[in-house]
Amino acid sequence: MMTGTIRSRLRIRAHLDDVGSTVLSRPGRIATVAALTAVGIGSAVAVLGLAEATRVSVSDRFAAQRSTFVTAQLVDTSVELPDDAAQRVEDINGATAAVVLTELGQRDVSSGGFTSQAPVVRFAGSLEAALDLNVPGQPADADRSIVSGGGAFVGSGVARDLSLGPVGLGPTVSVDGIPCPVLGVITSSPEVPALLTSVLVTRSAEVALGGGSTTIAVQVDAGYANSVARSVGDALVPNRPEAIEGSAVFDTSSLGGQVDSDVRDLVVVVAAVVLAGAVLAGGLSAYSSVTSRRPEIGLRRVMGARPIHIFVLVLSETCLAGLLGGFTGGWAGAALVLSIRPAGEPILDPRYLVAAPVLGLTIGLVSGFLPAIGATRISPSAAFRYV
Amino acid sequence: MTLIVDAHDLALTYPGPPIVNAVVNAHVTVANGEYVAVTGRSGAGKSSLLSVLGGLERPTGGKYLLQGIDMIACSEGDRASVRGELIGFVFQSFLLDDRLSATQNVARGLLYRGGRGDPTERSRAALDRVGLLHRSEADAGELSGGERQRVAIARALVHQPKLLLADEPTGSLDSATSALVLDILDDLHAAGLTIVCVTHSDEVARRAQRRLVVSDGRVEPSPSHLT
Repeated sequence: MMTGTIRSRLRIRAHLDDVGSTVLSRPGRIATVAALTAVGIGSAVAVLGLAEATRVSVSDRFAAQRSTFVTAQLVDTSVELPDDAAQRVEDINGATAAVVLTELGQRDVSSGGFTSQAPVVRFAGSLEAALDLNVPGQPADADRSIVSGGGAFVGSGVARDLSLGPVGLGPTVSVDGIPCPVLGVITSSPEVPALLTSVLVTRSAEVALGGGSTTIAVQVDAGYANSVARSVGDALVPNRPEAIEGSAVFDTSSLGGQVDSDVRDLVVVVAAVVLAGAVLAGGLSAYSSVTSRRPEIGLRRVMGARPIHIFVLVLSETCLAGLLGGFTGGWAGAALVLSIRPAGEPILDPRYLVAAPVLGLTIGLVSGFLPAIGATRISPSAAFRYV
Repeated sequence: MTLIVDAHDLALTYPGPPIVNAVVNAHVTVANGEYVAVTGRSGAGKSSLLSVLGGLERPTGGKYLLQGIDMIACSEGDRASVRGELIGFVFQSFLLDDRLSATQNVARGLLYRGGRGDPTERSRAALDRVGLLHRSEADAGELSGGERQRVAIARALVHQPKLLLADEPTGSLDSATSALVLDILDDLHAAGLTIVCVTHSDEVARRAQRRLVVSDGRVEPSPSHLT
């Protein structure tokens, strides 16, 4: 081509200066796109933030209603629990079974020539019912009738390590050399899986005490978890109820989890619709801006701008508008969420604030694409038609 | 004498409907350093001819060499490059950005031409050439009509084009201001610049060395001597 030595060039610095001066000289030109983007992103952030808060609240309520398991921790070790602690807890309205567990630490355990180290826990109360244990071969009330004579329940992991024989053959396990008849082998412990690798001895077993922590595990009727958790301290240490901290254990895997998922899906759809609206509105605004700038764009073409230069110019402006809108909208949405929700609750993911300008930039890119294409088709003769 | 514009059988037809033959079998030659006026009635095709000569529109027929470059064979992008390098345009409506200073408006004439010196300094030099250096920092919106047209001329000159195409450069000005602008064009011509000026005005046309008359898209044979 004979024009090989003649080629329009646009330096990045010159382009940025041009975009800057164009935007600053007529800020209203990009203000509409920026405002629409800000509204879209602000709404999306607000919807996501408020929905997250709602979801957490709904989830908590569902979990509280669904929960049937409560644990209470003795946080003041100077306090001694009464001997009938489990019974007292079971007497709380809504509680169905309770057991007091005291950790004795790692101990030597042996049986039939096999020796191992395992965590040992002393228990008092309705072990199987309170922890929903599966102990094959044991009658439902075995924990109360049998353990009074002293004995131990062995987790299936420990039983395997010790090559323990069938419970029906009356095996014995020694803890620190103290023999304890095996009352059963725990094959399932959904509430406290660690018990599968532990040995649980009765209170009457002659095993030396250690300074381990004490926990009360309680099975409750549905809907009573929070009230039982609050009442354990009063039931066991009426003069110092704060020595015990009770909490309901939530199961988020069932109905609450499904609700979480449904809410999340709905919110994503709403946020997507809002953002799509921002893209559409931004695109229309950008198109309108390009139409009103036909003489200017024509003049640029006259002065040597190639179509790609015009494309980059329009897209740069919409991207800048999107970036500003995203930044503004992100913070505005966050402010809205925080102003509506009670203080102190972590309800807004800070990543939204980082993502908002990026999303705004993307909206600017998408909404400006077609108008930018249209701008490249404006003939340089458009400059002549302006009087 | 070297020709900067060498066009034969030029045609520009808009497909319509209705089909419009804006330029019909035009023969136009302009020598380097020449000052040519293009006249004719409204709608005769003067601006269409200027669009073709300036590379704004691709002719639909004929041959056109601009400074030896085949403008019909050029792509859209290449024609943009040729416009940016070789041609300066002046419009009746000035086409300035009123919110930018005179210097910034002139500097836009360099935007797509890359480096070669500081744009601000070159713009100020161009403004000096049209006698407006003292108004270089004023916003275009604050300038009078004559000053605005002089800024537009400075913008057309700032990249040192080979050919200046002016479309009714005095069409929006009073007679006193028009005379000032025409004096500037005379000075530029005297300095060696080639000028093609579309005008309704006999007064403007008389400043040129030669006149082309356009009628119904046809260019009347142009005398090679001064009118």
